[in-house]
Amino acid sequence: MKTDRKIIHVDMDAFFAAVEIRDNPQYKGKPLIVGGKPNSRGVVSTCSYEARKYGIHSAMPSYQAYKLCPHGIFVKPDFDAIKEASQIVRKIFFEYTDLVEPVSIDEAYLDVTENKKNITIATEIANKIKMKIFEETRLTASAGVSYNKFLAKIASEMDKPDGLVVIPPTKAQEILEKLPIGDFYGIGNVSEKKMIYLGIRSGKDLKERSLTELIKHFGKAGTFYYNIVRGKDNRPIITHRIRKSLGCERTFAKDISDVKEMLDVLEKISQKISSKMKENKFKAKTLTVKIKYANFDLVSRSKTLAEAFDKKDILFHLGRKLLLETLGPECKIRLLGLSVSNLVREGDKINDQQMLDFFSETELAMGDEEE
Amino acid sequence: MKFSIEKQDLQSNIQHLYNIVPSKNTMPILTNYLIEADEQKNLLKFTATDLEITVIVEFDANISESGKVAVSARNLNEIINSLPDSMVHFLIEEENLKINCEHSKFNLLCAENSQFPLIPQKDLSKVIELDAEMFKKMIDNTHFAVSSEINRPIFTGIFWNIAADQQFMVATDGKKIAEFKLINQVDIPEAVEQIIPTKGLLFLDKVISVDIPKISVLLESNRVMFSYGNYTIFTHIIEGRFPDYTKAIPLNNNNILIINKIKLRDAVKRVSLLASEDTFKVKFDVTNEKFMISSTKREEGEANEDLDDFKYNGEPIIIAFNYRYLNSILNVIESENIEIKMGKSNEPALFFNTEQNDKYSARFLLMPLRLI
Repeated sequence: MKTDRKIIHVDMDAFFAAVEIRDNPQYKGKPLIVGGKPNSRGVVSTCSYEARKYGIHSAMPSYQAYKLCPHGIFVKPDFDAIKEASQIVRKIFFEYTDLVEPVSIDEAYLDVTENKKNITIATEIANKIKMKIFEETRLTASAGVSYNKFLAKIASEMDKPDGLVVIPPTKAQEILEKLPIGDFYGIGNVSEKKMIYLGIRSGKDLKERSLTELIKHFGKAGTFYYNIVRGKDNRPIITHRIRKSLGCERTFAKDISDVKEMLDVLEKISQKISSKMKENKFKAKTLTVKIKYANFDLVSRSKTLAEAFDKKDILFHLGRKLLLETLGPECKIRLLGLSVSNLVREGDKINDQQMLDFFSETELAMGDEEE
Repeated sequence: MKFSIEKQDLQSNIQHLYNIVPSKNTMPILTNYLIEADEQKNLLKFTATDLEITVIVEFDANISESGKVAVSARNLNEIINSLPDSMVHFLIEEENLKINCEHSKFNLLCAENSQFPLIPQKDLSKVIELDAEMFKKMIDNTHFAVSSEINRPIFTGIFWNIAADQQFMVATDGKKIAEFKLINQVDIPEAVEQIIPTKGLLFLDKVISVDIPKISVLLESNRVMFSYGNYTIFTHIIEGRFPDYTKAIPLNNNNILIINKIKLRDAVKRVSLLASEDTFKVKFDVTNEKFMISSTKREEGEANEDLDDFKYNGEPIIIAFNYRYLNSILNVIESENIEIKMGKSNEPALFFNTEQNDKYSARFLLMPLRLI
């Protein structure tokens, strides 16, 4: 087991809301909800700590947030300002180490075991990063320091906002034993329910179970749970994630049933994805159409081709076919999306099969079929 | 409408029809069978269509009242299959189809039968007659090579060329080609070629049996009609020009391997157990003295098998194939031995029956996998 790594987890505090308050000081100290408008179908992206007191949280539908806090201030996120701040923060990380794993726009892990400034105490680095972030963006971040990713993340959450918590190996056991089972990394809603059913409510309960028992109930994940409750998490910092899919979707302001309108949107989405694929130099073999009906039923249909594609026409043609095949008559839908997966990058040599020339020389038929 | 028929009789007549009913309901009416009863002719007619292929089956029944109804194919199929071997009575009453058999009573809601697509008229006046068994053989020998890529539709069907003295079918997906030629005497003024969707041909492949030796065909510009026994099949044709695939077939493959087909198939089957799940790659390593097949599955293991009793005439060669494609060819080789003509490791290989037949001939091409 490695206890000699030094990992920092940095999490911006109520990031979208904080950016908004920084740029509009009149919102300070008020319940601010960043995300969709209350009369729209949007959801809450982030909210200020004042708004959280009303029980509002991210991903909650905006109209529900409005019910909880009608006098709240609802604003749309200022993506330009958010992106700018995020880039500044990321640049600060790289002043200390190249081992940075971005989790999302406002969160990252850093491995500072060896760092560019030769600082031996990770807490000192965490503190410097926090200060520098505030200096350059006027925003606060919470940091957690420990010897693995899981503990560093727990640490960063322990004293929000503007916190800095260190979990040394000597304190890890105590903290892990007290941790509610749902807060463990890798335990989602389903596993949490199963754990509770098995009488496991905290880290302490989990620790009492044998490895064999955990494997019996959770398969491979059992080993992971067994280790993690003992503070063992050897997951490395992944500096660049390999993209596995790319998608784009659109929620309509009003449910629509007009097929032509759907196809217009589908065409726009196809164009967007195609451009992004070309820009990032990859093709895909699988296309998935996602439809959310007015009653919130969600369906998706996929098609995989033998040859990887990136052209808008193919995306649209296939997407259209899948959409029309799926759609019942007079269906009302609220959301339409496309995504590509099974990605093939330039230089990938996954397909060893040689092809006859006349096949690839044959024009692709993109002609219209009957409606 | 009112008729009755033995369950087994009805079942055997409509058993293949369900394959035509589209599984995705773009047009709900297509999930129905159209049933027509003709009292005068005492003839019952079932129709299923997915708009591209229409299949009609006609057979005798005790009809006491003519009529027409569209009814859920799935429900009807499941009901018929579950009934005891006994007489089944059908009756339309107030837009419902009542099905009674012994003590079972079913009441099926009917669809609006006027919504059912217009079915073309069967026209036997200008048909040509073909040997049904040979027609089936052509399909068997080629259909496995069609492409499933919808963006190159011409390769999703079988190319059929028919002339007075010979006919052939070809299919390709760019990785393999299957060609089957037949010597015949057909009453046709000039050669006709069409690309026929596989679905309709596979339906025929299922229903053709030795009992009925002839199949009638009517080739039209936009569709083809087949008439075989009780069945009438209309299939649309795929528009487009089939490329000259013969250019891709090498003439100078001088590395010739002859081996017992079953021995080769069994060896490939064993070795393929440890073939890569991405490429399905098995490697042939052939010299005059030895013939070894091998495979490797990363992080799992490897397999190899030495074959004896083979004849090889040529340069030592290492060549790799997708074993699934290889199997699809081995499955249609009729002779005891198979002849494999290879060029270089990265060039197409050809596969033949070793015994020649004076009525027909088949040849298969398979593109190898890259050796890395």
